Amino acid sequence: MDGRDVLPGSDRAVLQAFREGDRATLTRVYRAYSPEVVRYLARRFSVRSGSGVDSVSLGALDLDAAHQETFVRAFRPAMRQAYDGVRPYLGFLLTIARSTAVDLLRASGRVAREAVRLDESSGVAQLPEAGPDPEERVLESEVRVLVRQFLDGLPEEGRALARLRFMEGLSQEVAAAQLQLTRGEVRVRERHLRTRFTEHLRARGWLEAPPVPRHATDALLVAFIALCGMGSGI
Amino acid sequence: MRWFDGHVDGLLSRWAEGTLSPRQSARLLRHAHACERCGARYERLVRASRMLERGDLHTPTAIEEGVLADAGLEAALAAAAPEVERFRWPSLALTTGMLAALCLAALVLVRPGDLGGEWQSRGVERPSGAVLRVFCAVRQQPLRELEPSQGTCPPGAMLAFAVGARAPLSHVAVAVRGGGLQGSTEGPFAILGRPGAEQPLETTVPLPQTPGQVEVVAAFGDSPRAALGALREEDTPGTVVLHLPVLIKVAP
Repeated sequence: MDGRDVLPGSDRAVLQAFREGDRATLTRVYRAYSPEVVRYLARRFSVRSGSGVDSVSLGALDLDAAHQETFVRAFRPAMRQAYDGVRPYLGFLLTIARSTAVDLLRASGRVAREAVRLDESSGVAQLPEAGPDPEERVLESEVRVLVRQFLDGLPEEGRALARLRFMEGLSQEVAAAQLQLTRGEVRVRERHLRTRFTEHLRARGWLEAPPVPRHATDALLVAFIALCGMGSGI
Repeated sequence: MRWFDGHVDGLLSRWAEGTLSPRQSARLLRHAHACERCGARYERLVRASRMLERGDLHTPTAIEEGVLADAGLEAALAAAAPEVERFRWPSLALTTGMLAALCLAALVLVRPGDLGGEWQSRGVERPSGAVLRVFCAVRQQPLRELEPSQGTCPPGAMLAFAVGARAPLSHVAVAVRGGGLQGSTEGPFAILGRPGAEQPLETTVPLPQTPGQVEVVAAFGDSPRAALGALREEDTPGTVVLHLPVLIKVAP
């Protein structure tokens, strides 16, 4: 099913089940819209501040927090009732996502508290013309070189697989047909390719973390694990 | 013996392969949020994977999307449940998790200042709807949660926090004042936990190196602005402010 068909739907029973908090329906909605929320939150945001417009983006961990918090807010009983079932649900979700992103950016100090307001008109907008800052340009260049080195070091069939699957975005079935392999063979080779890429990153020292944590302590780690375990029920 | 000394390098490798189970996905991300070392590795692995598979740094890969979806589903469904149901029928796993956490520390639930600033035991339905837990972290020692009658922590230790709140409270700002500290504001943070399922704040505050006393102040509001305003003691209706004095002294 196309995710956009989950809500709103011609079937009023689906909307009713959604509003009542039916787990199966909520799971369907979540699965349908989660990828689009992730992609939306991963983009660059332009933030209006006193001196101009800053271009910021969420880090990978902030992206996790924002994605999760978006659905936590959206699925709360009051918010489910607030959805009218007429407008596209994706737009409703992305409004919540934008607000969540702003909160996280402010909380992390990435943008000034006074610079951002939660309403769309004066806060965060996605402005494609806003470019990355110099630091990010350097980082991007560094990662691009790293990937290029990896691809250059692959045998011909590995490069062909990477080109078809990653650069051209073909499905495993289509890639398998072009490479005259079975889908299972493509799946296995792709996994090996990813493993090899991780080994490449390790060998280049790319995955090494900063040596000294600023505030984190071993004890704090214990608390976080325990608390998160409580919160998620795992 | 230390209770927990594991990192998630193995899970990071499996993340890259795309072979994590939903449970492992949740564990990886929980750990990465709490561990600076693994968090940095996760961030760098994600960036490199995006560049390999998408050609830029801002387009998530299918694997990343899948892991985030797996990791966030339970929290989303938990938020959807009516509160009465959530607290009447806690899951076995949640109960187990609560018991495990109780082995680490006792829960402290604080009442707002206008109700007398008293601390009460967990599980009591509070009109304020806000819970603050404060932890004392000393390197190489197990974490200790501060109790209402014994809010003590040694000089130079770190304070860590966990909060939970009910709607409409959605944000919290924290400050540690006194004892020669500058009283800087931490947050505001979006509140991810609820009473009974508090979530840690991603911040810690170092205590002064000398004995004395400080006060932890946590202001809860229905917006970042409201939380900050309450922390500054501005007139902000609907906010809740919790206080906890912490005695800084060398442990006997």
